[in-house]
Amino acid sequence: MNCRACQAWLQRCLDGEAGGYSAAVERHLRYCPECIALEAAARRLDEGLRLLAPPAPPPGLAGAVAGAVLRDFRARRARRARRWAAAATALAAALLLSLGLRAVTSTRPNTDSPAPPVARSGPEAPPSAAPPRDEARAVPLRDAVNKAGSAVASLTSRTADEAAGHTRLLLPAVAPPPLPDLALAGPLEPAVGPLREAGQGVSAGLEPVATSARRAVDLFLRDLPPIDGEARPGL
Amino acid sequence: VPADDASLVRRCLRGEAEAVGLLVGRFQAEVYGLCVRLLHHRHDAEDVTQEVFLRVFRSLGRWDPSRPLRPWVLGISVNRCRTWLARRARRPEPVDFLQETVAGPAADDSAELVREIRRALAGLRLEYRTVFVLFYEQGRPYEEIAEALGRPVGTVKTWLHRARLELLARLRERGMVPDGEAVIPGGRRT
Repeated sequence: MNCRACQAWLQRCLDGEAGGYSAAVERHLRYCPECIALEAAARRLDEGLRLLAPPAPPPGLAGAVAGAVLRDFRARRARRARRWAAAATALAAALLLSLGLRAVTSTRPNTDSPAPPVARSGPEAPPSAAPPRDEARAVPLRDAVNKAGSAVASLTSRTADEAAGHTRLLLPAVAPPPLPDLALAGPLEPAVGPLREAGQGVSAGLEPVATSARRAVDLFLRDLPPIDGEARPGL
Repeated sequence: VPADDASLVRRCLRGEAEAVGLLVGRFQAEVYGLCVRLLHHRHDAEDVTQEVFLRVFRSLGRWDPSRPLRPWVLGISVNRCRTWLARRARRPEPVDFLQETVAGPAADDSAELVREIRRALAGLRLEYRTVFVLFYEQGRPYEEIAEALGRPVGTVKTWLHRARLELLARLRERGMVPDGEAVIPGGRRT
C-alpha cells in the first residue's frame, strides 16, 4: 500500500464506510511517518467531533420565529387584499368614467365638423332622426361662416375696383411701343412635317448602334453551351 | 403521529398558526445549528434563522411537493447565510468563539481540541464548511446535501474530503496531534 491508498482508506474511515484496519494499512502505518501523523490527526478529529455538540437554539426562538412568520403572513394577506380592493376600485372607476364619457359624447353636438347634422347621420339613421336642438345650434355657425365669406368677397371686390380705376387713369399717358415689322417669307408650315423629319433623322442616327448591339447579342448566344434536350437557339 | 411535510405545508399555506409552529419546530434546530456554524455568531444566527423561516414561508407556494422539504429548507438557509456573510464582510465583526462550549465531559485538552476544530472550521471555505457541518453535525447523507446545495454528489464528496484534509492539517499545525504516534488496533504503538 502506498500513501495515496492509505489516505483514501482514511477518508473512507471518516465517511464511516471503511470496515477497519486491514493488514496492508497496518503495515503501511508502521513505517510511513506522514500517514502515521495523518491517522493520528484523524483520530483526534473524530474525538473532537464527538465532543462537538450541535448548537441548541435558544428556548424562545421557535415561538419568536413562528410569531414573526404569522405576522408577516397576515401582513402579506392584508396587503394582497388591499391591492385587490384598489384594483377593483380602479376598474369600477374606469368603467364609470367610460360610461359617463359615452353618455356625455352621445348628447353633445359635433361643433368641429362643418357638415350639417344631417350629414353625420349614418345610412341606417334617417335624416329626421337628428335632434332639432342640434339643427338649431348649427344654424348660427353656418350664418357666421356665410357672413365672413361675404365680407371677404366684398373687400376683395372693392380693392380690385380701386386698382383698376388707378390703372385706367394711367393708360392714356403711356404710349405703346411700336411693333417691329416682321417680313414673312411665306405662309407658316404645319408642325407635322418637321416633326416627321426629325424622327427619321433620329432613327437613321441610331441605326449603326442597333446593328452593333444585335451582332453582340448574336455572338453571346452562339457562345452559350447547348441546353439539354433543346436545340441551340437560332442565331 | 407527525404530519407529513406536504400536508403540513398545505396547512401552513392556509395560515394555520399551529401548522406554522409545527413546521418551525421541525426544522429550527437544523437551521439554527447550520447558521451558527456558518456565521460563527449566535445573535447573527438567530436573526438569519428568522429570515430563513420568513423566506421559507413566503416561498412555500413554490415548493415542489414531490421533493423532500428538508433539503429545500437547508438550501434556503445556506443561501441566506451566504448573503449575510457577504453583507457582514462590509462591516466586520468579531466572531464569538468564546460562546462555544464542550458538550461532553471535559477531559484533558478536550475543550482546547473543540476550540481548535471550531477555529479550523471557521477558516474553511464556505462550501467546505457547509458540507462538513451538514455531514457531521446534522448527519445528512450525501444525496440530501447535494440536493440542498444544488450540486452533484461527486462535488459534495470532493468538498468534504478537502475540508477534512484542511482540518487535519490545521490540527497538526496547532499541535493537537502528538507527533509520530499512531495507534494500531491490537494495542501496538509505533
